[in-house]
Amino acid sequence: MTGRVLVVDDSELIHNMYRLMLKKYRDLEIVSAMNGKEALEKLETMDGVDLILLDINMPVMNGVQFMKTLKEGKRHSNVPVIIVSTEGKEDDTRRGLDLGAKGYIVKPFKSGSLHETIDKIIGLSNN
Amino acid sequence: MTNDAKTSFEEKKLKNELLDYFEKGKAFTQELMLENERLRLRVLGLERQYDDLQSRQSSERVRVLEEENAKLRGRLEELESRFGEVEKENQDFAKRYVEVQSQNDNLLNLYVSSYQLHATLDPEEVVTVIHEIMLNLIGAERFKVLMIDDRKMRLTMVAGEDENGPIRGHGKAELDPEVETVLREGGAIFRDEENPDRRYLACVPLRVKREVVGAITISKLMDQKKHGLTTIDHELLDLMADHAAAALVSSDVFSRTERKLRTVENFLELLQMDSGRDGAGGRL
Repeated sequence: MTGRVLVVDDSELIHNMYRLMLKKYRDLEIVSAMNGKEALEKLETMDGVDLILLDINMPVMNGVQFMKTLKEGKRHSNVPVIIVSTEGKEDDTRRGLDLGAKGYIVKPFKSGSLHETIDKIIGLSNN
Repeated sequence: MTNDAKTSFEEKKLKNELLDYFEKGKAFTQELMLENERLRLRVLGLERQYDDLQSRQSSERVRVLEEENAKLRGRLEELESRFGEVEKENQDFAKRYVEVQSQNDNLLNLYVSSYQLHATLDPEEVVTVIHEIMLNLIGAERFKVLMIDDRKMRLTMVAGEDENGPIRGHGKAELDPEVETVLREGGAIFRDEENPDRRYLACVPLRVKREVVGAITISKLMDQKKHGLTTIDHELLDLMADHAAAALVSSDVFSRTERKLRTVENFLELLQMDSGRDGAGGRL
C-alpha cells in the first residue's frame, strides 16, 4: 500500500528518523513541515494526504492550534492524525485524543510502535 | 384245541408281542438317550472350541491393537517433542526478532544522531541537535551538557533542560564529585541497583579520542521512561556522547578558525589601507 504522510515537527532529527523508519515501510511518501503553519500551507498545495504525524511543542504554530484549525476546515478535517510528543502523561494523551487525534505516540518511540499505530490508523481509515 | 386254550394261546402271543415292542421301545429309547448324551457332549466340545478360538482371536486382535497403540504413542511422543522443539525455536526467534528490532532502532537512532551532529559546523546548531537528541531519543527531562573551557580553565554549561525549560548560554557550571570523577577517569557512571545513591541517573564523558572534553549529566527522565535507563540506553548514550563531543569540538574549532580568519583578513585590509595611505601621502 502506498500513501503520503505529512510529518509536522520542529526537529530535523525527527524528520530524518521518520524518513528512515518509514522509507521501506508501506512505500510511504514523507512530506515535512517544521511547524503547524507550514503544515497548513503544505496541505493547501497538496493533492491529498493519508496521515499526519504531529508534534505538540513547536514554534510559530503548535500542534494544538494546528489541530483546531485542521478540524475547523472542511478539506482535510477527516485526515487521521497521530500525535507524537514528549508529553507522556495520561492527561496529555487524553487531551490529544480529545482534540480529534486517532493515535498518540510518546517520544522516545521505537519503530515497532510507530508501524503498529500507523497500521491501526490507516486500517481504520480504509475501512 | 378248545376255544379256551386257543384264546389263552392268542393272549399269550399278544402279550409276548407287546413285551417285544416294549423291549424294542426301551432299547430304542436307551439308544436315543445315549445318542443325545453323545451329541450334548459334542455340542459342549464345540462350544469350548468356539470359545477358545474366539478368545485366541480376541487376544490376537488386542495384541495387534496394543502394538499399534504403542507405535502411535511413540509417534505422538516424538511429535510432542518436535512440537516442543519447534515452539522453543519459535520463542527463540521471536526473542531474537525483538532484540534485532531493538538493535535496529538503536542503530537508527545512532545513525540519525551522528548524521545530524556532523551535518553542521555551527556550534549553536550542534547544541540544538544535542538538545533534541537528549529530549527525543533519550527521553531526558533534566540534563546538562558540560564542556571544559581550556581558555578560562573552568567547566561551562553549553546546553541543558531544567524545570523552567531549555537552558542556553555558556554559564559557569559547578564541578561536583561525580562530574569530576567522570572528567578525570573518562568512563560513564550510572545510577543503578548497585549504586542507588548517585546524584545523576547518568553522567557520561564527552570524549574526542581519549581526551575528555566535557560531560553530559541526566538527573531526571520523562514519565514515559520511569523505569529508568536500560543497558542499551547506556550504550547508546555512550556512543552518542562521543559523536556529540566530536561535533562540539570541531564546530568550536571551525568557528574559532573563522573568527581568526576574519581577524587576519581585517588586519590585511587595514595593512593595505595603511600602505595605500602611505603611498598616497608619498605622492602628495
